[in-house]
Amino acid sequence: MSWAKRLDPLWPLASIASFAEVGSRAGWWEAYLFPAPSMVVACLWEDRAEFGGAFAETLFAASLGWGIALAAGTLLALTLSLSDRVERAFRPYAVFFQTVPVVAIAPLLVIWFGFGRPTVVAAAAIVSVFPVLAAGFAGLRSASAALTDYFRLRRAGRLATLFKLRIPSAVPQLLTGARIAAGLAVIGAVVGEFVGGGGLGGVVDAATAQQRVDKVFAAVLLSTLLGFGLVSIVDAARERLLSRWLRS
Amino acid sequence: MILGGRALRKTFASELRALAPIDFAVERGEFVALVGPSGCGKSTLLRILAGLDQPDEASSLENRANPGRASFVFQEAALLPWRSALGNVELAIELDAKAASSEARRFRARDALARVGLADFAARFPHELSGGMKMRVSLARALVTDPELLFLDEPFGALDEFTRLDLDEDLRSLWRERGGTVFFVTHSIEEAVLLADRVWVFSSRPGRLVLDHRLAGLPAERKRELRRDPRYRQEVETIEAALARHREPRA
Ligand SMILES: Nc1ncnc2c1ncn2[C@@H]1O[C@H](COP(=O)(O)OP(=O)(O)OP(=O)(O)O)[C@@H](O)[C@H]1O
Ligand SMILES: [Mg+2]
Repeated sequence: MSWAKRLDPLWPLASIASFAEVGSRAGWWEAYLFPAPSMVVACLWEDRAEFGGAFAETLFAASLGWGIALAAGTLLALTLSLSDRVERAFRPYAVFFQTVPVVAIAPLLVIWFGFGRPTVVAAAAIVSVFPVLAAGFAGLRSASAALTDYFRLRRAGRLATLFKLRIPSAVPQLLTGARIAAGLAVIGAVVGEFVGGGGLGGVVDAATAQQRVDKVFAAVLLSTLLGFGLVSIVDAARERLLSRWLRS
Repeated sequence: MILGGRALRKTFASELRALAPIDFAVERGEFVALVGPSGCGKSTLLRILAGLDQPDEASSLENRANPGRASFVFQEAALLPWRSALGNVELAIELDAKAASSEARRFRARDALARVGLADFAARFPHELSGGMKMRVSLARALVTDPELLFLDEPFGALDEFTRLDLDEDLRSLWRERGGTVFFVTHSIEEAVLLADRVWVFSSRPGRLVLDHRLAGLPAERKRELRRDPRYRQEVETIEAALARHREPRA
């Protein structure tokens, strides 16, 4: 792609930002409803120390929750799929619990884990574990019928089939699950911070109480960038790992 | 005898009869080709013989090959995409009951790849190989365990004519070198006559064995030139006639 084409996505942003800037300065709406972008940037700069700390805190909680979800989801899928019967019993729940709204259970997490980091990490882990689990279940049974027949014909044992066929077959779907989980982990962490305190979610909460809309916008912008960044990193890693699997 | 069946039949769910009762005996060292109309139960029979499916009750099936000494080449190559050609062939040895050192494994796998003409492609991954090369890897994987019984289900059906003839010639000469019993399913009468010493013809579903024909008049060495030989043409016509008689005239 040429540079001009690569820059195309910037013009909607530029137009909307200019419109917001002009409209807000000209008094087309009250500034507390939608601040001028320059105000948001100024606020980011002024409180850079606070934002930097909050960003790092949310990044840490989201990453930790994501890591826990990845490990727990993969292990759980592996263990539960060792027996066909157990897998049949549990698979629907992996799908069902993916739809639990984290916002609704966040207060419950405070009761269980108290105010502070454990609640935030738990919220991130809980929302991101189910996509990993569902991807694991689906991936572990994604080997082709012909390959499954081949292993049966060679009288391969359960463990040999698991390690030489089912787990490697599950890698592409697990990586996709991990990517979805990365985005959800950030959402989970921010929601967890609304109730548990700290991080960018805490900043949004406090700034809303003080009616500092510019600060709310700045924190929202940062958490969006954080989610986008994490997903992009996982995506890049996934592309690299998958190149061998996908091209076949 | 290595394989024998009496009143062997298979019915799928909702009374779909795939195999009529059939009786047969295959001797050790034979090369049998099975032809028949699409959907007549050829794959069904092969899967039953290989132990991948069960026949109906009251069928009797005897398989005197040593357990684990059968190999199967499927219609698609069925290779592990994350393993090189060599790794895919080694898989067959890894899955063997008796353990082999990794050097011994690699040595045998290289040897098998060389036998199918892929010595230079050992390190390539399946996505780097053509369809014909993948089938060769699949064949090497089947041969590396030195099977007593080799089942092939339309293995070269998706390949172009030239590649198919190459592989047919290779398969025939490999069999002549190493022996063993081969059971080969194909759509192509010409391929059956070029490869086998015994051709079975199935009727339309439910498959019945309507012709069990030995190609006694053809030379043991088969090259593509044989296809111009009048004896070859004669055999093809015999089988064609049997197929036409027992084929239902519906689409
Ligand atoms: N697992 C199955 N369940 C139900 N019906 C089946 C199953 N496998 C095969 N059949 C049916 O049994 C019949 C015979 O199928 P089979 O695959 O043995 O045919 P085939 O002779 O190998 O055909 P082709 O030459 O097209 O591969 C078909 O009508 C098919 O629909
Ligand atoms: Mg078939």
